[in-house]
Amino acid sequence: MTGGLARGDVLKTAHTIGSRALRWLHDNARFGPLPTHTVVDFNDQDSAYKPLGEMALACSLVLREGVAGPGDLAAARALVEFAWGQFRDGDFLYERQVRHPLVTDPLETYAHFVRAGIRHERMDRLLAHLSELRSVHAIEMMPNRRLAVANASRVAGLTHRPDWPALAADTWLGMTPEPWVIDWMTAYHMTHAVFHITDWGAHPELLPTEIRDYLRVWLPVWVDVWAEVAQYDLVGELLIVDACLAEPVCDAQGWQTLAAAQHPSGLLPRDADPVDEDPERAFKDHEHTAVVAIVAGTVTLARSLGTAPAPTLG
Amino acid sequence: MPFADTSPHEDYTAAVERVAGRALGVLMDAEGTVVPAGFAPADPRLAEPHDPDADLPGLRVLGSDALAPHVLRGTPLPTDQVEAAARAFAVFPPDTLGASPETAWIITWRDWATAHTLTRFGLAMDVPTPGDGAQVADASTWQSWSVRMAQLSSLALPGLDGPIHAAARRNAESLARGVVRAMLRRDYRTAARIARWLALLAADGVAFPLELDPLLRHVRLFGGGSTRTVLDTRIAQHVTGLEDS
Repeated sequence: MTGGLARGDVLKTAHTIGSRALRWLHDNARFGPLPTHTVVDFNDQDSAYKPLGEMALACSLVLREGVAGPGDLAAARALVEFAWGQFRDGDFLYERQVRHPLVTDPLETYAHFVRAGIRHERMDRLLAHLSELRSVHAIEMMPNRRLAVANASRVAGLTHRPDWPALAADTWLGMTPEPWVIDWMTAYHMTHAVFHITDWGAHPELLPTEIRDYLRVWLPVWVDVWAEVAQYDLVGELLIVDACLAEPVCDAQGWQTLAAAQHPSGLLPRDADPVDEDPERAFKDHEHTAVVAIVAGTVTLARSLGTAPAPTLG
Repeated sequence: MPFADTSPHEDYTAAVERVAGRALGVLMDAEGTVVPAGFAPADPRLAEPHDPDADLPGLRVLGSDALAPHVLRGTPLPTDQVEAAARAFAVFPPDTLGASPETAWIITWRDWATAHTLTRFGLAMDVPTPGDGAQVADASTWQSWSVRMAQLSSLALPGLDGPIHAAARRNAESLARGVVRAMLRRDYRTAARIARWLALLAADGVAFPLELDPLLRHVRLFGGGSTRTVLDTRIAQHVTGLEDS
């Protein structure tokens, strides 16, 4: 282990970063509600809708893995309920799916709540119907996005069985391409292919062997180069990928980089730019990185402890 | 082209590029091979009269890299070039190369490689004996280790073998990671030099999960035009026996 940290210290660092990020998210969630009169066909998805879904994702994983302390579990539960409340107990997602049968974000968002044990009966009936339609499965989208929908369907318990190996093979990662031609956006896509194939680290064994072997060699290189340029958000995503492997390959360096960047408040900056003094602006700028840190800390700790997540395979 | 106002450093860099260009010309001057523009062997009839010692810094810095094309193509090294290589050593002894106590061992190994290569062309040279390669024995920190190996790339030549080569063979994956890291940092000079080691490993049948041919081509297209870097990519290509591209 380079950097002088034993694996136990890595886990401690991972846990601390994730726990502090969760507290920060919890303490600042008041800045992230949906605008009062949000309509179902708005265009500005990234302002509050998508971040609320991502908050639900992170907290659903904290609840799924169950390796957090009682305070963190309570915070995660509170945030999931906050987000569900923002979505009018799921009616918002249901109405958006009714209005737009071919958009996938209501299903993808809903799946995080299902993972946390929350159901919406009319949404379930609607999704079961839609998943029977060939048109829904023929929607044109990027390969890693297709995996996202497949995983959401799996988590939501839909009966459609996608051809996982074919979906994985279609991604950038599935090509096991030259590892020296990857850019920032492609790196994000790569990470998400892994997240969806393994359902965020629940099933490392589902990663195709070629992809696993490829990541074993190259993931440490990508962590190194993006840590060097202080892309903390992406480094966090890459460390989640590490936790999605049956045997993690990254050393302590990436975690140490994140630990050094995290503020005492728990805010983890997305990059090296100055953090805005306005707390609401700072929340908007860095809430995604908090989500990443929570997921990275949670999944890393859980897989290392050898705990099995609640089954999600449909 | 005369340089009116060049610094010693610029003269030095120009000498390195000039000698690299000549070596590249020798390497590429094979039948059926297209010699890239600007890299053709100099036509002596067109050569400007110049100080015969002007190339010595280049010969000294490139060391065995300047001789590699003759090794790889099996062509004799002209007597005047053997003499020039020897003179470069005499004019610039190891302690004039600006090495720190931490990097002096690298100079010693490179001089060993140059001296060893020159013996093939009939010149016996007295250089310090390098150590046991302990500085590259541990590759666990592959980032800094691969950069050290890049600094030792002039050893990556068929016919040379020793503890540095053994360390390379034991750590193909660290070299592969190092070259990818250098590529992503757009440090094409380092990438080309690490690729020299990978080429040698490929020629020795050591497996690693990287295709060298597109990587070397990429360095030539994106590498910023350093002749010395192009020379490294062409040496690597020649060592692996890859088709020209």
